[in-house]
Amino acid sequence: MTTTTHPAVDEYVGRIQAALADLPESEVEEIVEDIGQHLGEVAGELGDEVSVEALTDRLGTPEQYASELRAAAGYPPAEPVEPPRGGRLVARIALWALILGTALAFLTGLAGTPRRGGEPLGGLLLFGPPLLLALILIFTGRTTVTAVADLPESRAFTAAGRRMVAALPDTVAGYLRSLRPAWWLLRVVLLLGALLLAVRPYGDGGYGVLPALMLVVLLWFGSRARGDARWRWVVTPANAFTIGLGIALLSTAWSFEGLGHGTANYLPQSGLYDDGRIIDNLYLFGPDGTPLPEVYLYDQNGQPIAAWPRTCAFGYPPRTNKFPLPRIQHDSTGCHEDTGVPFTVAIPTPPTK
Amino acid sequence: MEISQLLKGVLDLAVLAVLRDEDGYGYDVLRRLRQAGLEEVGDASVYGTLRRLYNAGTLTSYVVPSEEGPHRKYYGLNDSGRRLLEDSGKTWRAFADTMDSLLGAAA
Repeated sequence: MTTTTHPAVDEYVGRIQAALADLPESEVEEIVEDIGQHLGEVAGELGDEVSVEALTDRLGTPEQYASELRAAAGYPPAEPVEPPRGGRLVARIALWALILGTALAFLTGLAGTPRRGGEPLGGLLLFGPPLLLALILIFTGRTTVTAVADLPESRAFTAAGRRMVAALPDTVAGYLRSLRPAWWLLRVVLLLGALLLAVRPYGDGGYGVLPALMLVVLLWFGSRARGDARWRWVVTPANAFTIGLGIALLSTAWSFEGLGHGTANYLPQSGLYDDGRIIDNLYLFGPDGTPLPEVYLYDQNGQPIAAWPRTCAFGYPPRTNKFPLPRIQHDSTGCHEDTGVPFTVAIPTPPTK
Repeated sequence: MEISQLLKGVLDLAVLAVLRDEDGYGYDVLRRLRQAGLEEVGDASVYGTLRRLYNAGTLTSYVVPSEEGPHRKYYGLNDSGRRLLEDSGKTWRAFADTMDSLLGAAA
C-alpha cells in the first residue's frame, strides 16, 4: 500500500461505521471496504483541503451518508434514534464489562485444560459476572449497540483495527479473510475435542461443562449474531474462550513427545509409562548384578522422572524420583512396606574384543 | 419533478446498465452514471445499491490491487445480473412508452 489514509477520512468512515453498527459484522466490513475506497477517491480530489468539514460539504454528514446507504441497500432502518435510557456512562460500563468478561473468558480457556489444574468451573465465576452485567445492560435496552459503538474508545478501537488491517499486505489480509469459514469449523473441533478429553475414562467431566456451553453458544447464537448485533456480545467471549482453549490444547500437545505416535493421547498422563503400560516401580542393578539401593532418576532436561509411590498410610504421598519405591505387601498381620528387591538378575557380560 | 425522486426506482437498472460492458469499482460506477447525465445520483445511494445487487446475487465482486493506492473492489454482472438487466430494461421501456403516450395524449 503506497498511500496512507487521511485522519479525516478515518474519522468520517468511523462515524459511518458507528451509524451502521447494528448491521451484521461481515456486511459492515464489506461496506467499510467500499466506502473507504470511495472516501479515499474523494479525499484525493479534494487534495490538501481534506477535512471532515470538506467531506461533509461534499457528501453530507457521515450519519446522512449512512442513512442514504441504508435506504439504497435495503437494510432495515436504524435503531430508534431515541437515546438509550442509560446514556453514555451506562454504555461505557457495558463496553468495559464486555471487554473484561472477554479477556477473562480467554484466560479461562487458556487455563481450562485438566493438566493446568484448578477448579473446572472456577472460570465461570470469574468471567460470568462482568459478562452478565454487559448482557443485561444491552438486552434490557439500558444501552444499545449503537451507543456503545459511538463511545470515543470504541471508535478508537475500530479505527486502530482498521489501520492494522490496512497495514497488512493485501495478500495476507485476503488469506486471513479466506480462513474465516475454516475458523468456524476449527472452533467447533476445538470445543468438541476438549469435551471428549473431559469425558474420556478417568477424565474430569467437570472440564467438559464450559466447552459444551461454548459449543451451544456458538452453534445456537452464531447465526443470530448475523441478524442482531447484540448476540455478538455473547459470541465474542465464547470465541475468546475457544482461542484460549486452542492455545492451551496446542501447547499441551506440543509438550507431549508422544504426539505423532498416539492418536488420541493429547494430554500427557502423570506417572511413568513404557509403551503405554504403567510402570509401578524401577529396580536398578550394577554391572555385577547387585541391586542399587537408592537412585534418583532425571530425564534429558534435568527434570525428575517421578512415579507415585504406594504406601500403607492413608492418602497419597507426593510423586518421587527416588527408586526403587517400597513395595506394598498385605498379609495376615496387615500392610508392610517392603524395600527389598523381589528378584535377582544375571547381567550378561558384553563380549570382549 | 425532482429527478432524485425518479432515480430511486431505477437506480438498480442504471447501475446494472453501466456495468453491462465493463466491470467497475464503486467510484467508477459513480463516475459513469454522472458522465451519462445522472448528475443528481447520491454517492451513498450508489454504494448502497451495489451492496444490495451484490447481496441479491446479481453481481460478482473481486479485488484488484492498485499501484497508486489501496486495492479496489470491482463489481461485475453475472448471469443472473444480465437477466435482471434484460427484464428490468423491458419493464422500463414499456413503462416509458406508456408514459410517453400518456404525455403525448395530454400535450
